Amino acid sequence: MIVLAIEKLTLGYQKDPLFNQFSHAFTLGCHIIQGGNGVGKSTLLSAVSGSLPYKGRILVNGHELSENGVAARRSLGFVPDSTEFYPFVTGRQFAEFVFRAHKCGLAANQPRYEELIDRFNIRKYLNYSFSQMSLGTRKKFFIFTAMLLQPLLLVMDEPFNGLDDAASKELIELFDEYSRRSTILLTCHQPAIVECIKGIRWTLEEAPHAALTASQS
Amino acid sequence: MPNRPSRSTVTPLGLALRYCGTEVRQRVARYKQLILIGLLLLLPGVGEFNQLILYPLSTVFGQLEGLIGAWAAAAFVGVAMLWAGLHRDAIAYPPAAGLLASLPISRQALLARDLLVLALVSLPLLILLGVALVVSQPLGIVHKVLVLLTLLLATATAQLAVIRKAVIWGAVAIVSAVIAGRIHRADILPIMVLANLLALWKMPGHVLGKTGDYRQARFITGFRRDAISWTELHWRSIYQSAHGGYRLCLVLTLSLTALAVTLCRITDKPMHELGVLLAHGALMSGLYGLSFPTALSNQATYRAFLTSLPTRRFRRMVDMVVAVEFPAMLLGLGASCFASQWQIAALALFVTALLCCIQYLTYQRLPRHAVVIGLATAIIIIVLVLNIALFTGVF
Repeated sequence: MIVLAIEKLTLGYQKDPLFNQFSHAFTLGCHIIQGGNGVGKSTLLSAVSGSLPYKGRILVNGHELSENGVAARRSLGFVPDSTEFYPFVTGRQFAEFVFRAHKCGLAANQPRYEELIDRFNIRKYLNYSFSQMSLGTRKKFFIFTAMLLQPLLLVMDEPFNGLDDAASKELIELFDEYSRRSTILLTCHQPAIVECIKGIRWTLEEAPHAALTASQS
Repeated sequence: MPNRPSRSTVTPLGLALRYCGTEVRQRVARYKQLILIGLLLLLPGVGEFNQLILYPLSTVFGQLEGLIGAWAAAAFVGVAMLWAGLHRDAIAYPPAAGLLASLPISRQALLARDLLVLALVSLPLLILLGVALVVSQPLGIVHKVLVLLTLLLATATAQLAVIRKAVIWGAVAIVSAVIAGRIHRADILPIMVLANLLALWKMPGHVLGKTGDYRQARFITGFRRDAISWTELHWRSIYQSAHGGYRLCLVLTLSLTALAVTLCRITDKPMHELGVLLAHGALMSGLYGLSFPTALSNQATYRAFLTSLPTRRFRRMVDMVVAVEFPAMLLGLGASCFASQWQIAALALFVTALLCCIQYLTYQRLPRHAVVIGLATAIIIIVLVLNIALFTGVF
């Protein structure tokens, strides 16, 4: 099953595009995008999450992202590299806000709510505002909410940045579990962690990219 | 020769003054149209200004020993406190407050910095006080100097009390100002001066919020709800914005609404009523529209995540317009209730809603010229609507 299909994507600077006629199809499972600094990993993830304009087609669960954005985004959960958010919003409110935007009812009513809270150890921070949280805790709330949504496509830009060991282990286990029914697209710079994740590793070589190179399974 | 950092930026005072200067410049640049309109509106009312403000304030320095002087002194200190509250961002850059608190800066240096910055931002009030002193009735020079000194120290104490959240010392300042305004005795005034000096010396240092940003820390305790919508997100970000958002406009917009209602009640011509209500709507949408840059810039800051959410662009636009302009619509509705015909009220409300949407579009498309374009568009629409109404003879 192809959850994310990228067709003839052109992206980046006008004279010097990072992606030129780039095409790729992502099936169910965990896909780790690797590559050096500045090769365009985050740019690719930003385009897939709908925050960068592009030329070409990005199909999420069959819906073109720029033409049918709302339907495409209903199948998408995104964790950006920067976990800044409105400073007055509490962790609980953040989850409820995202669920409200997805029209998925209340986050607190989801069957895995309690379990995921405990796995990420964020119960005591539920009523803390973003301005009061550490980088790692903010990241945990982004990941927790995306995981709770259980979307078909999970896009995570450097999800392990700032996470403690326990949370990193939980996340790796969750990837294993979610990859059976979702497509997880992530970037990660920590080799030790990448080694632990079961998934397909793709490498972005020198820009401009036209395709991904499978590096190791 | 190696480059050396300017001395003005390496001391806490220099840093604060530079930051304060930038803040004041930004505010003047941001509100220049409003300041101009305010000054123009004040021009015909110079007589009333004398009667309402300058005369009572001058009695503080006069021979009259009465309640007017006491009230005027208390009001002056009270206004100065509110003024300091509005400008507390200028005292210290909130995100740097934590770092500044960790530096080994002496208590005296901090006091000097705060007092100088407060004096700088309070310059218009101090000039007013100086004018009141000049036009006041003759009184012994020693008395005048003592009263002036007491009032200045009381103002500084009260303002510092607001900044440092020291309520007791603020109360001491107001009481001393009242006494200085009521009793002009040479044996009492020095005691008041001493009381204020003591208050300044004894006042505790800056109170840091839990996050280093007092605005956020103060706000967190105010609202606790699990659900949060797009509208609420914008509303709350505007409410706690650095320059006040709704709070900054409230007094002005309420006064303008009261004026519009009064004009509606005293005129017996429907066309006049319509004109007043349309102008009121335009002013309200324009004033509250000043918060669009805050909402739009916040949205841009968190764009990467927000754009990944499945919410239609139109819905987001409507949510933002509602969040920014709802006070304008509420005040428009309030003023329209006093219209003699429901058709006038409905038309005025419709035009106000239209102007609110235009405000959003101008701030989104042409943010640098949004105020001017918004005003020009409002004038054109009002003239157009009035001409159509006049031509068709509806009212």
